[in-house]
Amino acid sequence: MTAEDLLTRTLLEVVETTDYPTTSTAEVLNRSRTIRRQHRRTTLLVAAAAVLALGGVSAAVVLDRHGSANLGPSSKPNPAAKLPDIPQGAAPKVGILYGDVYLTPQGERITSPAFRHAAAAAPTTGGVLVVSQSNWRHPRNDVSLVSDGATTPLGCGLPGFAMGPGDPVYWLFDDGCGDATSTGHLVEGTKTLAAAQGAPFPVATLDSGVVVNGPAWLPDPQKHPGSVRTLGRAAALVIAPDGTARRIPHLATAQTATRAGDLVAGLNQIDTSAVVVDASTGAVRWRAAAWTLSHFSASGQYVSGTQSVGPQTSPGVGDVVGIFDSASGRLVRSVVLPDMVVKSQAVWEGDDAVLVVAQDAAHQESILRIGVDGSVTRATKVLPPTEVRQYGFRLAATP
Amino acid sequence: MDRPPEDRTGATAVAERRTARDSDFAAYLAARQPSLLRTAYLLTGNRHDAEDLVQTAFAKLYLSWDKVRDRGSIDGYVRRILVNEHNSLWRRAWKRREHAADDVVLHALEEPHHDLADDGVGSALWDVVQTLPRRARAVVVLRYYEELSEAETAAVLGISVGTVKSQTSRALAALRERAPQTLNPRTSEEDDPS
Repeated sequence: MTAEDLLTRTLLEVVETTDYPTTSTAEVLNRSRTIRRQHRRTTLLVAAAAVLALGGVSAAVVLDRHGSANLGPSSKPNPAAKLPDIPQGAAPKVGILYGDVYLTPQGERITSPAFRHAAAAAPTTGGVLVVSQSNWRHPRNDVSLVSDGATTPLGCGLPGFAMGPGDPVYWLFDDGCGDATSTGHLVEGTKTLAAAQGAPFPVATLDSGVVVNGPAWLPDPQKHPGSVRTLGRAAALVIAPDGTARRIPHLATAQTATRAGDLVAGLNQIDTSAVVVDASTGAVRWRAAAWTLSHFSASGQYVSGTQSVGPQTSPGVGDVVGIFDSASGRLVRSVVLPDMVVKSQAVWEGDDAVLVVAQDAAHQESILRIGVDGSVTRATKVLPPTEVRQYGFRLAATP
Repeated sequence: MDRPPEDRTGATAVAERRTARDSDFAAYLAARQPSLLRTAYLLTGNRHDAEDLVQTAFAKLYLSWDKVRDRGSIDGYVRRILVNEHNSLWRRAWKRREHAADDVVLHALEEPHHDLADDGVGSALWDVVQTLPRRARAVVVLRYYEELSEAETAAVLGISVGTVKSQTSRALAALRERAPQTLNPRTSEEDDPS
């Protein structure tokens, strides 16, 4: 067999042994509408700039006259396409990570090598809980406690926490950090909430328990000791303080939940579109097909989301940050970040604004604050590309 | 006030045309999606990026659906969109973005396990293919999976036939260098003194 034949055979075998998701016509049409909308906005901006250059007419006037009908909730002009041109605002009111530094919401600066590759960090009883990712080829997530300059390893877990009013909730494997790990437990601070097999990923804490994403095989106290109950390969569950679990119907994965626990945002089981559902019945309250929903605001009034427009090959096209009314699904605000990629989820500062890590076309990076009122400011300095590669901003935890 | 009858007829005709167009497009999507997903998977190396890439390619095709008069050329057209999107500078930046935490878990859970029915040769070769630069990988996929000619590959990528030849040659050389046992099985046997 020649090298070329072997290559062909290999590629054929690779594709034949893979299952593929199916994209619905509706999803494709949604994305095409998004792309078309972005192109129209770009055209408007270019036209406005041309008018401004030629006749001295205010671009804002042109945008108001022609833009308001098309731009929907994003009635303000798009922000500048270069991060340094966006005005500097207040420092972030949520914890952020930068190199070896964890900057607390109160502005305290804590340094530890554990923060260098941290996926998440949050204050907890006795210090700062941090999960660091290492070895990209065989990822492992080291959970540690940083306190008084010392780092205490706690074990291996999953790359994130569920945040709530108390200590962050996280997952720890029982049997080390190898590939064969299969059992573990959910921990809140130092208290074990529930033991389980699989790797249920905690995403939100509610008054009534912790929302996790399966798979999970949990102890079944209604049967004989040692028996387990399979809760599915991809399922969103609520694990109550007594260790019992219930499935949130119709959700494949949960992304976030209101503190009261009445609404959960996630992916619909049937078509994997973004939905907000009633936590107890799974009934879909509303859909946001072309969006990725991030988090509910502090009071639960709003939910944030981001929209990817695919490749940003046209000037002015960029990712979109959206703010929805939680109850109705009405898009309260959408802000296009021209020529920019949003590299994080949209994390709330109270009920007034969300923060995202954004990168512009020059590969500079900063954390942007997008207000419910449509304002856009920088919450940090701008990192040049060399520092982005070395450090990079991360939002430390998602309240 | 009611519209004049001719207006209503015009509106109906437009709606009918749109319905026919969407139905036409949906049929094409259903027929060609599996094949295009396979090509996208070979280009990206994972299902989620492949799905995203295919969705974008079909979305752009939909926007141009009425302009593509020669229905026989659609396959080539959408393949060209797919490869070019994959090669675009912004998409590279796009893929460096952080994954949401649950995405990481889902990705780990759903990533297919390749248990090729051979002695591991195919798996090793696929590992090497995934390390090729994007343009070279696209050339390899189009030439050896899609089995396009050099001229067809050049047309899809918008490069010259000579560039396709040199890219192919360099890609094969890289594969031989990094997986010599895999791509030179005969050489290995000939070298065996026993």
